[in-house]
Amino acid sequence: MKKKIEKISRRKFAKDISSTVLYTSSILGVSMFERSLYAEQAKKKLRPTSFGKAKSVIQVWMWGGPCHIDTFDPKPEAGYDFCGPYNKPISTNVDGIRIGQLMPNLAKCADKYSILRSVCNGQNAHETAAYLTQTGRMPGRYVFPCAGAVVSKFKGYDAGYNKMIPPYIVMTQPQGRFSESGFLGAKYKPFATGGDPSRIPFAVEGIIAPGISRDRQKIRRKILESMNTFNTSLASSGYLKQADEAIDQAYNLVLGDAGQVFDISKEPAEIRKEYGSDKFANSCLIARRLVEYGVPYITINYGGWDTHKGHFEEMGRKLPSTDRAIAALINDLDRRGLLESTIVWVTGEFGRGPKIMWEPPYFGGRGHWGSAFSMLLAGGGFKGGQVVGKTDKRGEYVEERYISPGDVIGSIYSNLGIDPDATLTTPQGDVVRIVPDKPEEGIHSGGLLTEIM
Amino acid sequence: MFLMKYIFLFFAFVASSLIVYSQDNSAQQTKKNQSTSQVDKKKSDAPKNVVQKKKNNAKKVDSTKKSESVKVANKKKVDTKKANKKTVKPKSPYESDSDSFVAVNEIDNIVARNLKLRSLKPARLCSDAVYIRRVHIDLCGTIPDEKQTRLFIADKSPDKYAKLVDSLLASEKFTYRMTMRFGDIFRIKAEFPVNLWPNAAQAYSRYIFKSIADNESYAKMIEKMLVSEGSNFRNGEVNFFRAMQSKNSKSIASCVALSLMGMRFEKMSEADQHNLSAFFERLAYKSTKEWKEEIVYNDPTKRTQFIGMFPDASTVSLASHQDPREAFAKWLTKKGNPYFSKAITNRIWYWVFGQPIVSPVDDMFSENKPANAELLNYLAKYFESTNFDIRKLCKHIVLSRVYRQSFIPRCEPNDAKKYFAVYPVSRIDAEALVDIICQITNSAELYESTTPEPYTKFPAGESAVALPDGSITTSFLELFGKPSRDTGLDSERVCNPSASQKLHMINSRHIRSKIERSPYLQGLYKLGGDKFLNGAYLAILNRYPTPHERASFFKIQKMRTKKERNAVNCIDFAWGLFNCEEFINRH
Repeated sequence: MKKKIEKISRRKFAKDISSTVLYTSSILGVSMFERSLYAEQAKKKLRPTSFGKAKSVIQVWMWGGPCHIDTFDPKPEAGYDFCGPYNKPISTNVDGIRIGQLMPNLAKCADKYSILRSVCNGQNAHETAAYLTQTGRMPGRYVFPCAGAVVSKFKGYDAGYNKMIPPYIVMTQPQGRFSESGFLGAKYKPFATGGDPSRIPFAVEGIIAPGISRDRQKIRRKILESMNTFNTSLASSGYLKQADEAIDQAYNLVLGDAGQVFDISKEPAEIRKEYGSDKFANSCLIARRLVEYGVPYITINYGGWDTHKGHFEEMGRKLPSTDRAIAALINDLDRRGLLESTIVWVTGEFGRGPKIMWEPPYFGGRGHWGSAFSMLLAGGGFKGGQVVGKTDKRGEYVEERYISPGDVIGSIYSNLGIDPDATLTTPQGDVVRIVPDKPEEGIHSGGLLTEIM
Repeated sequence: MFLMKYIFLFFAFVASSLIVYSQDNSAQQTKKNQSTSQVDKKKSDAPKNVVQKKKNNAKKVDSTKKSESVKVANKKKVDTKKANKKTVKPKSPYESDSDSFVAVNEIDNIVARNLKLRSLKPARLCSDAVYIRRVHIDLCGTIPDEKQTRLFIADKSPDKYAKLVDSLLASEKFTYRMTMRFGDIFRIKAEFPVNLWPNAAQAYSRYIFKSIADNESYAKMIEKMLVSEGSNFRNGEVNFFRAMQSKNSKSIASCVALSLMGMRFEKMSEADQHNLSAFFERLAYKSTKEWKEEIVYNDPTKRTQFIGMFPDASTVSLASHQDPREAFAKWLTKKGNPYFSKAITNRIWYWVFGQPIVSPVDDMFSENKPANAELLNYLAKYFESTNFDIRKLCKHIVLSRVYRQSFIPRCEPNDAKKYFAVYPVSRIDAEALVDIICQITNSAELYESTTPEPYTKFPAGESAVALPDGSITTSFLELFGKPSRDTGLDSERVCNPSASQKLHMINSRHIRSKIERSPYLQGLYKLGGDKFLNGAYLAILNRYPTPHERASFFKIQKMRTKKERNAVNCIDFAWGLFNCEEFINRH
């Protein structure tokens, strides 16, 4: 695996200068340059070839913020103060791309995914960063719904989705630091499975009750039906119509086949081994099964990345299994021919500070870093084996090609075949676009990810 | 001994049959009393005391009354036995005997007139069992326990309703319930997007709580809030001017309109918007050395003369030393200002009764018209006449005949709901629901917030209704539609049923463990049979089981395997009670 030697060319020098100018000018707000990119795209009504290729999204939400230079944007040349013990990044099966040394499995399949290295949201506070990264919007007048809720609307409820399992699933707990459904309201909240995917049976909250056999479920249903004194007295009023429909739907899920999707004991042993057996690995496996079932948006709520202290110890513990599971997921989807129609989006709400904090109380930790961080994007029409964007030599700031969360989300919507001009109506009655037609104040954007679409 | 029991039963039945005047009942009651007396005999700890027995029988009569609506099969038997009997429709267990609409106060007169105009028939009077449960939930977010239910039903004094309501209004639970409602409108939330910060959210909530606990005039509470200055931590009421995403005069005016005037700022004309915002242009904010403390104050550099126009087009002219906020507060809270009194009375009526007069409650003065304008006018004037006494208004509402209607409509159901010809059935709100479940099962929920530091933790057993900060929530509360307090809109709260909610109640570990591990219910599971049935129905549904329900319990018990016949069957029936519509709805 050869590494391309970087030469400083005139072109690169010019690029460096222009990007510095860009960065400086963008401190004052969105520059004219960036604005024109959006306008251009809007005018041309660019429909990339990948439009509509994707059917589902698996989002790995690594909240807390994983460190970008330890994972997808290594900077071994920056020295020990920046990369710590991880100074030997590994080459991948794509020329010129290298990733963190704790991710050998992902290194072997780099041709299937692309790395976004110049994502910038400028936020270092968890809640605001999480909101921005998941909705693509700055906090303001409205509480926007996140990408998952929007997709569950346009590719779910509004597209005639009538399967038993809801169109927006989160494993296993709701994301908490922001409202997933925003102003769209309770209907678009994700269905949180609860439970522990590592246990068999995975007691998906509400669908499977460990210790209650199917027969007993049926007797219980009978008991419930017999307790109808109240219902009978209201029989002709219609007041309980919604409730009756809801209970029927619920029992369809409990006693019907849909609940089997969550049962991974049926998977062959080699597959289980390929993913691993930890909670995250099992969540990935279930996510694949949910994609097969036809759920349009699945979030794996995978936390624990907020490593202010004990950063390297925690990375040593988490990264290998994370790497194994995500690589297994991508390969598994590919083998089954599902990768072309399934977007895999791995991200946190920000990255972590490249300069290691050796001082107490951190003793080798990393802080929040929203100025530049990385995301992984695979499948669903996105090209693999690419890198989009570049950070400076320490991974602190974006050098080339800003990517805003809105760019990523807009690209995902595009690949899902959602019209970029689509709108939503807020409870106040205002009509807002799902993708803004120009970047908002304070957001650095380079436009949609046309390089990989 | 048995004969003695039988004689007493007979006398008790004769006495009670004088109260129950429907002739069809007598044959059924004899049958029932016979069967229940036999069951009583079987009970190992059946009360030996004769007086006790009589009381039990009086209660049994209540339960037999409730059986009629579902005793279709038996009714047929009765009909064949008694020829020439008029087919009287069996009365519901949820309704009392009275078929007449006797007005208690002016609310009843107004509604009755309106219903007559529309040819709508009001519902019957609800039964005592229904009333005590209903008024507990509506005022306090709790349900009565077994003893309270029994005593209330047995109590014959005519002033028991007023006494019950007085005790509920005096309880701390009522204060918490109202504080929760106001917290929803005022967006008392520490985190994004309101960003009050935990200490400030708690201080704000405390201000509301204390005002209501002291029974302060609602007008005074709002006036103090509108003119307040000070620290977000130490003067909780100033947080009214912080509980919004962007702190500018337009945003503040928007919140004033929504929370205090039932108006949508966006629907006001630009001129009106401008004029309303003008009253709040002098607010300034500054921080101190204390982490996240913020002082809200009137900017002294903005002291100029002020000419303003209120939303009702009246004007005011102020000298430079006078405070426009003060002028606005005085205008808003003065008696006779419909934007104030109508807005709050519509909301309180909606919270207590369940069906608003103008819908939605936060968009009252645009295209939405009141279902009964006279009622709204009357209630607003009444509220003013009590000097904006929230408790007096609530009492006035819940003692009315309109409030005491049953939930079974006797005319077109949608009209009945809209024009208050029936008590509207709706799913209990999330906070009260979880509190009630915990109350019955003696279990507790853990409420805490781990963002931001310093963490907020509540002692175990905290009531959800009492949570001061909208950021503190659980997946159960979210699932059942607890409002996020992001916008202060009433529509944030969702009381519609959903499949996910049903799934949670049916199968979640959360609810299962409460039902299976409750010490109180476990005691009942051990007893089994009728002891279990009576105890469970009284505790969970606040009434006795009907004979039909009793029969189906024993029928299903027979179908079980030997292993599951006792405890498992009881657990499943308790589970059924928590999952039936009667439990989960306000009625």
